Amino acid sequence: MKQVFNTTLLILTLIISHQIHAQSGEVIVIANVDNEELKMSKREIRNLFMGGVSELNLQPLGLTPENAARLVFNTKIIGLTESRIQSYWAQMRFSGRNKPPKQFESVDEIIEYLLTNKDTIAYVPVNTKIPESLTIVYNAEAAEKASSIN
Amino acid sequence: MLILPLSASAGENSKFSDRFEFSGFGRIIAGYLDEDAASYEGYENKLSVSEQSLIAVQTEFAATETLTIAAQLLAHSSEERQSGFEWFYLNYEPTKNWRFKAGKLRTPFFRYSDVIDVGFAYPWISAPQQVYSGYLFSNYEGASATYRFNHAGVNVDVEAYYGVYDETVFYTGQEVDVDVDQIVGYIVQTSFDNFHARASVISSDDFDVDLPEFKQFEQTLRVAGFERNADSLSFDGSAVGYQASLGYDNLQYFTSAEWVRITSDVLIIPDIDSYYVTAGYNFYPFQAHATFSRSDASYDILTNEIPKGVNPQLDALSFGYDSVISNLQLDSLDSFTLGLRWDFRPSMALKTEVTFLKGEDGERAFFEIEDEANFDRDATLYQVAFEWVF
Repeated sequence: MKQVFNTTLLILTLIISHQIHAQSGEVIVIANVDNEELKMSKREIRNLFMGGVSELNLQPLGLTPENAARLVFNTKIIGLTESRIQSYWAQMRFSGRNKPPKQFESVDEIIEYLLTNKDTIAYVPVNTKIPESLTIVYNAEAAEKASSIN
Repeated sequence: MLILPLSASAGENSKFSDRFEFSGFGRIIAGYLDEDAASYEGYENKLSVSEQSLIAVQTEFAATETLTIAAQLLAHSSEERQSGFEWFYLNYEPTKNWRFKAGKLRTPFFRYSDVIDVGFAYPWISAPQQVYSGYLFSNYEGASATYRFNHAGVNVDVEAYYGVYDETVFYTGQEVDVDVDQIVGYIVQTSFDNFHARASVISSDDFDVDLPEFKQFEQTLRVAGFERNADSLSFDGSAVGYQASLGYDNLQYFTSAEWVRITSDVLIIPDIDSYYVTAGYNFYPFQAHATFSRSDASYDILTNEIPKGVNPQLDALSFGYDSVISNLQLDSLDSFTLGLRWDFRPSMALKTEVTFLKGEDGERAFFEIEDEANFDRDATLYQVAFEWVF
């Protein structure tokens, strides 16, 4: 009985810690650009992914809501809940003003699209293996560390 | 040999179909008003789902990289709303900064006017009536130009539009021809991080509401020599609307406020000042919100210059004038709304809302009054809604 209890507790702990990990995991923003030195601020990225005009002519790509990285991106970069973002895009789309970023089911698909399309930008989990031809333009973890040192 | 051309044309076809985009939205709303003596937005003291429920399909066809044709077809359950094309326009975006539209467009009076049917886009079930029923036409035929830019992190959209409107609308339960020419509007919208602000003005110098019985009376007064009273019964004049709104959103809460003022010399359009203030709390996937809204309406009425007691003809005119003026409806209303929204899927939401209404004594206050003697302008509206986008 005690063993069953311990096992259950262990499984629960694992599930919970996994969820916490998934939610607190960071995202990085990568792009297919010629300028390998390109770095972007959080504000520039937010503006681009919310459909704002940007000097950088980049096409933003997003993940579908089932992806944990999207939640992290919404929370840390956009600063809005999923439902607020969805209603914002409903307003933009049905008033003919703007459309949400093209969406992909998985990180693999988004990487593939990035590789084959110039001037595209996407967020992926920090532990994603990034092909060499893509440029990391924003790293939330690094940005946080830098700001805490300052 | 035959397979090659076939597969080539299939390839072109799939490219052609890629240029089409379909999307849409729908809402099913049930409402109940706890009042016997009046109805509000069509709701009475029995449950109804046919006042605001609707479904719409939007089709966009990309003719070229910069030119799109878009149409939005809407079917509405209310007897007082016509179903059909709400939008039908050409969209031309030659650069990332410029956007031009021409065709049948929704009138962007206020912050949510052009998406008022897309309940998914805003927190309420019924957007505050004091602001959002303050206009007579929901769309116009014409063109708009928008210039967008970003300066130091601030997004700015400047839009100008021009058009006409000529349709039959329902005004206090009856069909009325409204013909509005020279509609001119300007909008400035800015956003910075999670802040949003909008200011706009819309005007028409040629606003014509066709109410034949009133026009006849106006002419009779003119012939009888009461020019100033005849002028005051004008159904042909100008109207101007001003709007300003502010909003802030973050992960935990949101707040917004909108104010509008409409002034007019068209008799059936009173001067109206209205606003709402709303605040909400997010606990995803839920959102709780509270809204206070108020409208103050008034007519600039000329005193009756037609003498009484001189002769029966003048008496008839004078009492006739009094009766026209006393029949003018005013909509001053305070309301307090509490609501809860649950986004149970990324593109679906359930909402529930209760609105406490307190109208100004002696005024219509957006109600349709059936039993004047027993109506204290106090009522509560209960609503539940299913909102959907696809």
